[in-house]
Amino acid sequence: MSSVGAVAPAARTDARLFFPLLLAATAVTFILFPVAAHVFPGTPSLTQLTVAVMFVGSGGHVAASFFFYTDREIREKLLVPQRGRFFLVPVAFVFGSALFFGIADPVAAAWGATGYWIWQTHHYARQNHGILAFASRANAVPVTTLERTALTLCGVAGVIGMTTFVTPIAESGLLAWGWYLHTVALGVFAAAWVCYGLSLLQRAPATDTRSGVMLVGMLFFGPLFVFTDPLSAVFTYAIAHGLQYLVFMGFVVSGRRVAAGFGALAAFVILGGGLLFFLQSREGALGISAEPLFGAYLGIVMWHFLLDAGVWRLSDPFQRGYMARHFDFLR
Amino acid sequence: MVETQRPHDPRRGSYIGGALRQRENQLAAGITLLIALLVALFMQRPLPFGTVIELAEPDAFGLTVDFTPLHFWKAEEYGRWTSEPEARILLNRPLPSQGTLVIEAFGIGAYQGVPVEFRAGPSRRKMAFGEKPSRIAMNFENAGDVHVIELTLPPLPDGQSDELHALGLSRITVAEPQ
Repeated sequence: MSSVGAVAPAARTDARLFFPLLLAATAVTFILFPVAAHVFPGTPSLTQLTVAVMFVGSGGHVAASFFFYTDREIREKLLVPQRGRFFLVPVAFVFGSALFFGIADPVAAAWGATGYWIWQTHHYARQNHGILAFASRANAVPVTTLERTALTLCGVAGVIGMTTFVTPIAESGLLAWGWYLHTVALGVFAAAWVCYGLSLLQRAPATDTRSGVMLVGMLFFGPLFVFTDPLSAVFTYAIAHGLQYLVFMGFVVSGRRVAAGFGALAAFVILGGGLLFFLQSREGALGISAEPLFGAYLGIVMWHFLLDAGVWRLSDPFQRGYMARHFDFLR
Repeated sequence: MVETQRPHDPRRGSYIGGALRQRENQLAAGITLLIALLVALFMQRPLPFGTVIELAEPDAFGLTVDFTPLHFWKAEEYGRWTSEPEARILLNRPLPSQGTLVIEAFGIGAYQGVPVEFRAGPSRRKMAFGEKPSRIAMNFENAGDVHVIELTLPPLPDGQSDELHALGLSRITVAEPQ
């Protein structure tokens, strides 16, 4: 069941730009990273481009979300009234994570990093649900339970499948479980496609935005089961998530004076992204060893998870009204 | 990030509680548990006779992993060198209840011609390999599921140089009892 209702055609101008941009942002990494890793490996220009895209799509997009703290309306009506959730808890995450990774032994740190990656992948899956909700709203066709189940299963497959690629499984003791985890992930991914197929029996595929977005959501975690290198298998979708997010933020900032809005967003991406890049350096800095800095970095990203889960929660009236002013197809 | 649009759920207390009440999450959890169980059952089936564990296979991820070598150097074209005195090969599926392991290996440095102990569950055998790869068979009989083949190199005698002293393992074949 959904609250999605009809949208007047006149109120769809944003949709004509938003969804193509979203699909284009997704395509960037899905094409670039496998090409850089497998077709032209070691090509300097492609490597530099990959690094630049990773910078923008990882730390840059995380930093961009902090733009909401500069938005007076969001700050006064959402963030400050819930200061525990949006200020105190996130700061506790940053310091707690820095402390944890500063003092934890390798096994505990490995499990901490694994937990972080699980949350991060879940965060990606939630965005896929959100994009489908946006597309459904724009096309005035509700999301069915089967479609939600299919996307949820894709997210579960992503969570289980990525553990074998990017978490420290040798230290966490999951190394011996690698084949099992990946096989379960593949089975869950296959089940997702069965659900997707059943959903097509309920509503035949159409050549509309909504169908395209649903298909992209289904393919999102696919690289996990196609490639055997982490760049192609994981960072394709991880960085695609970040680029998609910047498209969202572009629409949010364009609601104000355009130049000022995009200027502020660019500053967040470059400066904030630079700070996050510095924190995750392996060498440490300023007399601080690498582990607590890395912990602080993970804490800031977790802050981003908490912030997003609140700001984009469109089932709450304030957020729905706010976003409807920036995305006309939500009205 | 973006929450799907649903009517406000007045019962929604916590994030996890609300998520557990959603039908798609219940379905996904059930399907995932079922698949995890089926894969676990499949993994209880012993390796068939004729299975070859090729140590020359490079490190891999996910489904392409047939076994997991621990305490070995990276794969080379003729296999892998042990990196520590205790090395293990973790198997995705258990060995059969009884059979023979045909081990193809070679020694380098102080481990040429020195007995090295191989273990598969309660079964064990010491075997010595020369400079050239050779094959030695080891019968095994297991009371329960055995997912690991272990080997132990004896301590190095004093006064050894810094050159490589290790066992090179090329492949292990799971064969019928001999």
